[in-house]
Amino acid sequence: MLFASLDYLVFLPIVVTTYWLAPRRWRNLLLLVASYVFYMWFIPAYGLLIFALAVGNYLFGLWIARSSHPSRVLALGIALDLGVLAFFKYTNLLVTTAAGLLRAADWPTVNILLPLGISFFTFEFVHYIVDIRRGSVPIHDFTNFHLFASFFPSQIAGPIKRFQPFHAQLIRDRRFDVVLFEQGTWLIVRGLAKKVVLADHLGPIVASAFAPVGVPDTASAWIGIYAFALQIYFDFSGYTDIGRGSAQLLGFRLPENFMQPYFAVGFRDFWRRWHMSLSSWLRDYVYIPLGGSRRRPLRTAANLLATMTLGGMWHGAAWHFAVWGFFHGIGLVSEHLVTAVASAGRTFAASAIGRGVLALLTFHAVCAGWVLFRAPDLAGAERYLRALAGHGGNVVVPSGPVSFALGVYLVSVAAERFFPTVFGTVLGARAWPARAVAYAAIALATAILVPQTIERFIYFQF
Amino acid sequence: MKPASLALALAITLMVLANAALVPALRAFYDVGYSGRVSPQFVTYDPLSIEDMLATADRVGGRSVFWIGDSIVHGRSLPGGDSPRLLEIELQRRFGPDVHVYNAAMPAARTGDKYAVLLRILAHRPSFIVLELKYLEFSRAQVESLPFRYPYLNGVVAEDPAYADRYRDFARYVSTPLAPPTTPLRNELERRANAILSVVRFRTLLQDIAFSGDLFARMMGAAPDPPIVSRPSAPAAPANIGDPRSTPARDPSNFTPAYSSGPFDAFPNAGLFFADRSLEALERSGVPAVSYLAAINHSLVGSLAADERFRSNVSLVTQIVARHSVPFQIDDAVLPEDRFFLDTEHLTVEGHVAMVQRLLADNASVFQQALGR
Repeated sequence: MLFASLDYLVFLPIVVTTYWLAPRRWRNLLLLVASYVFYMWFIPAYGLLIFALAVGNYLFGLWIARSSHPSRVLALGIALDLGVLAFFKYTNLLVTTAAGLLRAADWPTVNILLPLGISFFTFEFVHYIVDIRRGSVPIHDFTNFHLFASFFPSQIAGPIKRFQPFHAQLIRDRRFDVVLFEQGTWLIVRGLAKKVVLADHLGPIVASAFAPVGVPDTASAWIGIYAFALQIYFDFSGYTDIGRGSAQLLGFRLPENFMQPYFAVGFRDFWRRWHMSLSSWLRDYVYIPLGGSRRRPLRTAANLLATMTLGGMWHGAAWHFAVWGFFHGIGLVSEHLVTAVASAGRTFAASAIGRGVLALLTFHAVCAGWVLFRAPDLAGAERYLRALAGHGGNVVVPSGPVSFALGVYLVSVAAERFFPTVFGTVLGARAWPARAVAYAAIALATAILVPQTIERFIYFQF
Repeated sequence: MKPASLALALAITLMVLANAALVPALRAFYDVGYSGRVSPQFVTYDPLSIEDMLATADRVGGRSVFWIGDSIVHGRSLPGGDSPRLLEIELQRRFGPDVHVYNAAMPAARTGDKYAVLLRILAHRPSFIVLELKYLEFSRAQVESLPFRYPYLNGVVAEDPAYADRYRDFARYVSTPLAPPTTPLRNELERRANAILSVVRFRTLLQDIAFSGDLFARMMGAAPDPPIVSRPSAPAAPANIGDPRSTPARDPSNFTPAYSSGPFDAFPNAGLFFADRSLEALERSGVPAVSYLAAINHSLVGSLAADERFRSNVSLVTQIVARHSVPFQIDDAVLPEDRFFLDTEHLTVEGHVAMVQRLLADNASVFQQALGR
């Protein structure tokens, strides 16, 4: 089911009302059933996949905790999870790449439909069994484990949960908390506005700029890449807001995923603010196990490059995603080098002007990375980068909606910065009338400005 | 009471009040909803126009005849009467005063839009249907760029399994997104949401009032829509079918090059597909019906009739029609004279009169069988 759909706007109130009216002992089971309804809305058969993986990982968790050879069991569990992910996600890529390398034009085309959210729940399963190996206590109640694996607010595109805090919420006595409920409502209203008003109206501009046929002129290429930077932010953070908000209506808290990422100073800072649940997962389950930064500088650089390239490949089964990840790896390595070597610039970097300049540079470097991410393939990315550098074609895209979206982004960042008690996460007691007017105004404006066709969330494809 | 509860309660109250006040506020200034006939300008904005029309037909009772078409049929601004009003006069004279003809035509509607309206109307078991098709809908230039003019109707078509099969073919050729295949449940949800949430129902109209068009289209450089006329007055109906009053000025310069842009089957032609589906739906429903291909003004479109591409395109349409048992006529022979036309395709009052007279003459037995006592 799509968060930004009428189906969900009917589904959610029914689930929330039934949930709070149900006896406490039935609530988790009810959420589990709701999560399956949510997941099977598109393709019912994939419910079997998530069920089988949940059963498998539940049993692996118990087995690892009791086994005399836990590392072997863990390896088997990881192989199973990644094998399933690889089959669904990378078979098409491997077959087409192999056919290309071997010039085997007559190889049959493989077309496996990617189950929604498989990348996200696979990472949660891997985290679960690895943490059991590291000493965490496994979840014994299958319903609770199953709900961790399938919880609908975070099921399809995260945030990638950690089981310890989530399980603690599952087993505690959840009481209706009106403050949490109000925060959740605000997140849903905000998320919907981000998705349907901003992201979906930027989509056609991005599609024109990155169309496989034709190359944009240089100004349009810049407009197109700013449009994509804003579109992917509003789309993904909108999804996360709706997911976190929905969880809060049910009395749960999910981790933050975004923290004003386009104000980051440097690549390291960017990954602390962008898709935070993924970057912390990559840090804990790839980068640190590879040795992290405890080895020699060259090894640290190799670890960073490997981690980010894998992170890129996780996003999509295409080589341009791998290059996008590698590009960010290069950015992180360069930053390590510069901070280690250049001490002279530290005073400048710490000043307000210095931070502003560095934030602007970081944003544009991230935008260059988005070209690799959004282009249909590497050749397309090269054409687009050349257009940015002044070798554009004749496709022209309009700038109006991009300026509007940028204005909204800056105003909302300023509002959260300067009026945190009204619009931020800290809800001031006396500001309730202002908040009420803001909720109603944003909800009504969203209803009026909703486009005729709502696109799927960009991260659904991963 | 906690501030959080107060904030939520106030926000909900504000939204409910805004939603409830919107329809009376719009009605005070604009002719929204359906009253007697589909309002010429608000059918574009209001996803429930057709629902309102069907509700009116249910309320009025009697025998309902629906004339589905586009601006050629709609002719709402003609003081001498549009085709449906002229047809009603004649049918009431012949078959009794309980025969009501509803103008289910929508300006600029494409075959896909007409098919969607047809499906909605068929669900209400009408007494008779007249379905107008036109050449322009089958030409490449039109359907390649935009198969639907009334996107809110897409959902109805998107329930059709045959549409689902062809969706990818069509979607490849259009610049605006088509409705992906959907289910009756989802459509019903959408219909109810429009009925309950007037803010959603009138969102296009609200944007037109506030921004002279779609806000984001305006930001992308679209020209402002023409100003919305408050409460347009409906012209008085003529007393009888032979009472053509004054006719608006003719516009001989209105020639659409799309007429000769064929051939029609150059790509999976959505117009031909929807025409086929429409005739099939009519046949399946068992509702008495006639269909026709509206005339064009050959004196304005030059040597088009002799053009080989044009003739082959017409033959493609006739091949589709031949597959079905619904009575069908091509109106070129019916309206051969320049005086029947305002431009290349829109009719003068004389044209409407001639059109209706020929429709009745050619299909006398069909009308008699369906509406005769």
